[in-house]
Amino acid sequence: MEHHDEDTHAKEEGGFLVFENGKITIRISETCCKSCGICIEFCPTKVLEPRDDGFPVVVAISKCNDCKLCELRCPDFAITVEKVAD
Amino acid sequence: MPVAPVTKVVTGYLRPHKRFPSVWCAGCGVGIVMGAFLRAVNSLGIDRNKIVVVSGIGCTSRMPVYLDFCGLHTTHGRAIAFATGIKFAKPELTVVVIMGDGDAIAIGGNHFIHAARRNIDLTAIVVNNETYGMTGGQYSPTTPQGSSGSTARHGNIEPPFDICDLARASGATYVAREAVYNARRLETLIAGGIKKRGFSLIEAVSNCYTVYGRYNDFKSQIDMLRWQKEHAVPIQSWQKLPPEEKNSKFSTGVLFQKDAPEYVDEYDKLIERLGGKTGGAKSES
Ligand SMILES: Cc1ncc(C[n+]2csc(CCOP(=O)(O)OP(=O)(O)O)c2C)c(N)n1
Ligand code: SF4
Ligand code: SF4
Repeated sequence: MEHHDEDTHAKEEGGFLVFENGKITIRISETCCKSCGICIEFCPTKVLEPRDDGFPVVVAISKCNDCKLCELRCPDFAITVEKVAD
Repeated sequence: MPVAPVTKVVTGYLRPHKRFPSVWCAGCGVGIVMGAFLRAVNSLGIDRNKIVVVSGIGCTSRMPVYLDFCGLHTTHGRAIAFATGIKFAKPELTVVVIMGDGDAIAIGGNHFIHAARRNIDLTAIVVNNETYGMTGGQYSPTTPQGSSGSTARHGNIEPPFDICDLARASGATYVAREAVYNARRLETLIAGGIKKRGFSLIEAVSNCYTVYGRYNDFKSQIDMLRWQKEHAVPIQSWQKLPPEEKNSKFSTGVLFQKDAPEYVDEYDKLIERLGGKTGGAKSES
């Protein structure tokens, strides 16, 4: 989790890893995610990377364009993307 | 906990007391189909008490267990038979049948073709992972010729069914196919099938690395989705491909649609003709 871009803030909240930069909030469920890697592999702008254990973490939130493809493809409803401001 | 709309829609339909994560393997396409299905239901605004989800047995058929709808988890291969009874008794309900390829067209093949032939208003979603997932990767009627499985270690010598061709030839009035990789399009196709009155079939091309991919040189679930991305071709473009490429790729979208009399309607007409009282929707009110 070392290479976040500068404006990413990560925290743990109610079983989720939450990444935010004031514009986009990405939440990943620590109970539901099975670390399959689908969200990481098929993100068109490469916002995510696997941690050592395979769990997806946000490394470049500023590149997220709110397409929600990770959310649509996650078989476990474990990742959500929310636009909070323009 | 605020969550974004896509997932909020889905989680809103899940049974609150069920424990998650689901039983499915990491990256299994069945979960992607479940998401697409629930978003389709939401987009159509169907009351959750007016929809029944029926399944048989298999990895795919675990799905109704998680859904806060009316549901029936039946025996292997018999989901369509139960669904037919439900639709006949309560035609006002939306009845969706979710099955694996084995469930639907191996052991349940006879129910499948006859429900299509009658054109009873059911929506069948067949999750085609080209194998018997739950029981360990035996080859199924959709396993491609030459592919391997736990019961075909030296390659399957049988030619497969094309589920969509089978449905169309049997009389289905809505036939569609999409890869789970294209989750949004799958959602739209499922919504189209539910909306269409008559027997609708949606084939969701899925990925089972655990017991199919391993036998067939795929490296992971992701590798299988990459394969889908490269081989799923919208029907209009697929039709323009040269024959050899047509065989190596698969067509997606609404492949066939027609209008034909629906079975329960025809039955009601028969009763009326004979001077009796029609059942189901009409007697409810
Ligand atoms: C009457 C009967 N025969 C056989 C079985 C064993 N069985 C359970 S699931 C299954 C096949 C599952 O394959 P499929 O329907 O393709 O679904 P998947 O698990 O791949 O989603 C079989 C043969 C059974 N439960 N009942
Ligand atoms: S797609 Fe879902 S389950 Fe898979 S790694 Fe991403 S968040 Fe986890
Ligand atoms: S065995 Fe295959 S079909 Fe069954 S849950 Fe695992 S990946 Fe999915």
